[in-house]
Amino acid sequence: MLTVILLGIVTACIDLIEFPLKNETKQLVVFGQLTNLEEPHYLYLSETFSGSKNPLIINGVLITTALPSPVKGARVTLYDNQGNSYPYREIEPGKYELQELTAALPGVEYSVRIQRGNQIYESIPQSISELVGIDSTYYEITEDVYPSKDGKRLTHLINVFAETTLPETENELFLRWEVEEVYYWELTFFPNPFNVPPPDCFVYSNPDPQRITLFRNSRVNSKTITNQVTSREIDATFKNRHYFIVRQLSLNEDNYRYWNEVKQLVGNTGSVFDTPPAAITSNLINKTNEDEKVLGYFEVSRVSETRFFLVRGFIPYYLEPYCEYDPQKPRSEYPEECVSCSNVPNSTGVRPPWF
Amino acid sequence: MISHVRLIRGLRLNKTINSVSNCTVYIAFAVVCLFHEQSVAQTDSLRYVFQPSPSSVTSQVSLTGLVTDLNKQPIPRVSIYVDGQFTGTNTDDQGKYFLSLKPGDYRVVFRHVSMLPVIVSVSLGKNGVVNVVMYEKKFNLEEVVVEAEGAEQNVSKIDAGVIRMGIKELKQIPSFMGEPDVIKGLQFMPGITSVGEGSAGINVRGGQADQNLIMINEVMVLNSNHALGFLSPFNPDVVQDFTLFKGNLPSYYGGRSSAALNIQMKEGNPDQWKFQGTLGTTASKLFAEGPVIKNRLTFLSGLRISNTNWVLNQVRNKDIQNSSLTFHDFYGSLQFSISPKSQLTLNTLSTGDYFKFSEEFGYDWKSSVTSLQFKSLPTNRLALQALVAYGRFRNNYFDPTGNEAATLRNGMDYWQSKISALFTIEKHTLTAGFESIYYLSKPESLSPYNEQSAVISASIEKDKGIELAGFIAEEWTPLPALGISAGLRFSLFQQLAPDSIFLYANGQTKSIDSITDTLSVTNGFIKQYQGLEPRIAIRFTITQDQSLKLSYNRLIQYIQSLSTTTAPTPIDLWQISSYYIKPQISDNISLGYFINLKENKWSFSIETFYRKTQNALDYKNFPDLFMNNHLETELVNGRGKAYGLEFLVKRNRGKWTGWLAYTYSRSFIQVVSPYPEELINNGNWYPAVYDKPHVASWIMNRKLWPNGLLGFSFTYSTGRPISAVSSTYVVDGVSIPNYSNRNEYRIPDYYRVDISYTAGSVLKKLNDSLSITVYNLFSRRNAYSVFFQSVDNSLILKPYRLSILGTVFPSVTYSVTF
Repeated sequence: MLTVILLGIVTACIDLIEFPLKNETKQLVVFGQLTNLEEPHYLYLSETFSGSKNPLIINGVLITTALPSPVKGARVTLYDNQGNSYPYREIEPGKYELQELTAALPGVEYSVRIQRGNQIYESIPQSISELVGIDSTYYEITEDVYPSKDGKRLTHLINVFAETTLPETENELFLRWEVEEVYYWELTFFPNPFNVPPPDCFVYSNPDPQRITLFRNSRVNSKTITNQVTSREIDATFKNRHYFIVRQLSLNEDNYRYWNEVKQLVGNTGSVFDTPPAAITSNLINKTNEDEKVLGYFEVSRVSETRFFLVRGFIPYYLEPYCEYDPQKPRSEYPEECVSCSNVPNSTGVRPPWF
Repeated sequence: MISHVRLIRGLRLNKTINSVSNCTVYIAFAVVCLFHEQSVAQTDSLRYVFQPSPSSVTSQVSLTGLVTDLNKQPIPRVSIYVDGQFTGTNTDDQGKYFLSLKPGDYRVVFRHVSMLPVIVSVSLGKNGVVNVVMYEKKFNLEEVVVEAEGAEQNVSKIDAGVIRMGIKELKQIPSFMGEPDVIKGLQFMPGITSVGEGSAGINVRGGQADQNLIMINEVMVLNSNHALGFLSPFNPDVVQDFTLFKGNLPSYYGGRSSAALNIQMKEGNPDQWKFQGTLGTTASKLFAEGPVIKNRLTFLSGLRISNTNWVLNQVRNKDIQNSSLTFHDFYGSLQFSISPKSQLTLNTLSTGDYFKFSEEFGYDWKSSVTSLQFKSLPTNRLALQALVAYGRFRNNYFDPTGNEAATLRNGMDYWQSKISALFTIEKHTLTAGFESIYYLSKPESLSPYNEQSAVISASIEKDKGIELAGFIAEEWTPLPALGISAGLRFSLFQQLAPDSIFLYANGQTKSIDSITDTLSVTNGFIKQYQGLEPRIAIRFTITQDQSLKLSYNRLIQYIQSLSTTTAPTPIDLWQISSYYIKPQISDNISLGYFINLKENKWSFSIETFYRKTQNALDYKNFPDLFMNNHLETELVNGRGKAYGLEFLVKRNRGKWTGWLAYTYSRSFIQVVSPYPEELINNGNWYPAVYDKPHVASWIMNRKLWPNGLLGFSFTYSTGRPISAVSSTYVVDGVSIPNYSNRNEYRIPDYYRVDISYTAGSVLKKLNDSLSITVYNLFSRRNAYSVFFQSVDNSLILKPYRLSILGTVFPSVTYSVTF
C-alpha cells in the first residue's frame, strides 16, 4: 500500500495482466458452520479446478483459475464427544445440510467427518465459545469518487457499523462479523390481461465479501467497540425494502487465526508491505493421507444476529430506474434479471419469515 | 642538496631544499593544456633527486609520502604507478603511500579519478619522501572520466570484488528525482540488485539487504531506510566517495555476512567558506563548509529536506490529499587539526521520516549516528585511528483510527568503538586492531494513539548484546607478479543478562503451546558465540595489464533484520543473535580475471563467485513479529547458497565513456525440519525473493559543448520470484487465494531507460548548475509485484501488476554555489 501512495502515487499503476500458471493438483475445499442458533446448518464441499482445466482466459487476460467445482456424493457426519452422530444430507450439488441437530450445545465438542471414496477427512474437535457480544447496528451514507474508464464516477455508499457491547470476561475473546443482505427485487410489471403482478423475488447476497472484520480483546480495554462491517454502493436494489443481517461470531483461537490469515492475504495489494503469501492451514486433515492439504475450515461458533432494513425513503438520492416498464421497449430488450426471478443469482420466491 | 623544479601553469620555479632522508617536499602541479587527452600523461616536469650518502650502499630503498588535495586533505586510494615495474601501490585512507624499489631512476605516476594526474621523475639513491598535492579535475574537460579509481587499479590491486566510486562518477548516472544516490548508483554495477523500485537496500552477490555492513567513515549505520526507499540517507553533497566490498572484506570489517559499504564523507574546506543551495522537484538542500579557525578547525554540513507534500496535494484523491510525506537528513562534521600529523573529527548523521496515509496508518522513524574519530601519523610508517560512535534509531508505526488506534514503538541504541594501527614496511602493509559494538534494543511498546482508543498500553523487553572482534591484516607483495592480502578476524558475541528465555518441549516445533518453562538469567551472559574469520586474497599479475585474482572469506553476522516484507521497510526489527537465533556464517569464494587495454582506456573484468550460508533465517507462514517476546517461534533456520558470474567492460576515458555490466547469478534457500510447520517447499531449495538470474546495465556519458554532460542508462533484469495463486476457493463468501510453493513464480522482466543532462554555468556570474533527468524515458510499466485480487465482488481473483513508477518521471534540479 505504502509504495503505491508515496510521491510516486502520481505515477503508480495497477494493471490487469496475463500471468501463466502451472496446473496444480486438485484440492478439497470444505466450509461448514455449526452455531448455537436454531437454523439450518450447511457444509459445502468443492474441489479446486486447476488440476483438470486449463487456466481461464477472458478478453485475452489469463484468469488465475475458475472457481472450484462442487463435490457430490460425499458422506458427511457430525460427531460429538458424547457419542452422538448426526448425518448431513446433500440438498444441492456440494451443499450438505445437517440433520437431526438444530443447534450446537454449550460444552459439547463437535467434529465433522467426510468420507469421499476411500478418503476420510476429519476436523479437529471444537466447542462453541461461552460468550458473544451484543451488537447495535447503524449506517451512514457517504459519497465517493471512483475512477472509471470514462472518467471519474460519483457513487453513494452505505456503510454499516456494529457497535458491540463486549461481555464481561477475563478470557480471550475472538470475534468475527459477517454481513448478509436480503432485498426485495421488483421484477418488471408487464401489462397482462389479468393484471397479475410479477411474483415476489427475494435476493440473498454478501454485499462486501472481501471485507473481513475481526476483533480480539487481548490488547483492548473497553466495554464497547465499533467496527465498520460492510460498505455497499447504493443502487436500484434499494428501491424496495433492503435488509442487512449482521452476524457476530465468537470464535476459538485457531478459528480466529484462520480468518486473520485470510484477511492478510485478501488485503494484499502488491506493495512492499504485503504479508508474504502462503497457503492457509485448515482444521481438517485427511486421515488416510496426511500429506494431502485440505483447504477451508469447519467452524463451531456462538452467534448473535441483528437485522435492520432500509426503504426507499431512507435514501436521500435519486435512484436510476432499472426494471421499470417502458411501453416503447419490447420485452426482449429488458435485462433478463427483470423478467424472471430465476435469472437473479441467489434468489428465491419464498419470503423470509421476518421480512 | 637536491634541486627540483616546480611547474605551475607554466611558471617555472627553482627551489633548493636540504636533503635529508625523510625530508618533505610539497609540490603542486596543474596542467596547462586541459583540452588534450594526452597532454597530462606526457608531461614529465617534476624531478626529485635523493642522492645516496657515500657511507651507505643499499640494495633496496623506499619512496614514501603523503598525497593531499589543495585543501591539504589526504586523498585515499590514489594509484601510484612506477614505469618499468609490474605493480604499483595505492595511498591508504590517510593518503599515505609506500614503495620499495631498487636504487635507480623512475617515472612515477599518481592517478585518481577526481584529480589531475601527477607525474614525477625520481632519482632514488636512498630512502626518499615525496609529498604530492593533486588538483581537482575541472568540469569543462573535453573528455569524461568514469574511472571509479585509477583505472590500472582494476588490474593491480590485490582485492577483487571491490567497487569504488567517487561522487563525480555517481553524478554521471541519470538518477531518480535528479538526486544521485549511493545505493541506487551501485545497482548499476555487476553483482548488485534490489528487490525493486522504491525498496531500500541492495542485494549483493545473492545476499540479503541486512547482510550488508553500511558505514560512513567506518562508523556503522544500522538503519539506512530513508525517503520510503527512494533515497538513502547519504546526501551526495557531503559524500566524497564510497567503496563496496562484495563478499571479499578486509578483516577490519566484519559483522555482516555478505558485503561492506564504506562511504567516505567530505571534510570541510580549511581555506575558504563555501555555500551551496539546491532546489529540486522533491527535495531542497543546503550545504556549507569552511574554516572556523584557519588551518585548525573546519566545518562542513549538508541538509536535505523534502518538499513532496505539494505533489500529494495535486492528486485529486481525498485520501492522498490528506496524506503527508516528509523526510530530512543532516550531516555535520567538525574537524580539528591537533597537529600537522593528527586530527580529531566529530561527525553526525541524522535522518527523519514521516509518512501518514490519510487517516489509515502512518510511519515515523528517526535515526542518527554520531562519532568522534582520532587519526594520527606518529611516523611515516605508522598510522593510528580510533573512533567511538553512538547510534540510535526509533521506529513508530501508528494506526490513528478505530477501537485499536495505537502506536507501536521500537528501536535500538548502539555504541561502537574501534582502534586500528596501520604499519607499512617495504613490501608489507600490516593492519591490526580491535572493535566492539554494544547493542541495546529498546523495549517494544504499544500505546493508545488517542483518547478514543481502547488499546491497552503494553511493553516487552528486548535483547541486548555485545560484539567484540580483534583483527589483523597483512598485504604483502613477495614478488612483482604476486600480491597477497591475508587477514584474520576473531569475533565473539554475547547475549547479555538480565533476561529470560523460554524453554520448549522436545520433539515439537517452537510455539506458544510448546513452551514448558522460563529460564531467568540475572547476570553475565545468556549465550555466547564466537568464530574465526579468515580472509585471503591473491593476485597473480600475468602482464602489466592483466591479472588473475582469487579470494576466500568467512564472514559471521550477529545481528539481522527481521521483516516479513520483500524489501527493507521502516518497521523492520533489528534482532541480535540470541539463545535460539544463531549467527549467520557465510563462506565466500571468488575468482576473477582483469585486463586493461589501450593504456587503461578500457577495463574488462570477469568474476565468478560462490557463497554458502549457514543459519540463514526465514519465516514460518504468517509470522507475527511485533509485540512478540518469543520471536524464535516465528523463525526457521535454513541454509543458503548463491553463485554467479559477473562481467564488466568500461571505457574510462574519451568523449564517450561508460560501462556495460552483466551478471548471471542465483540465490537459493533451503529449510529442512522434522516439523511440518517449519518446512518450506517440502525442504527443497527455493529461490530467494531477490533472486534475479540475469541483470544487465549500460551507462553512457557524453560531454556536450560547452558545459553540458549527457547521461544515458539502460537497465534490464529478470523478474524477481513471487508466490502466485495456484487456485481460488470460496469460504463463507470470501474468495481466498490458494498460494503456490514459496517463490515459485516470477514477475515479468524489468527494463528501463533514463537520460539526464547537466549543464554548468547556466547563468553568467554564478557558479551554478542545472540538471534535468528523465527517469523511465519510455514510460514502461515495470512490475514491482504481481498480486491477486477480486474486483467488484467477483469471486474470481485476477492477477494485477503493481508498477511503482509506471510512467515517465522528469525532474529538474538547480544548484548555486557561493
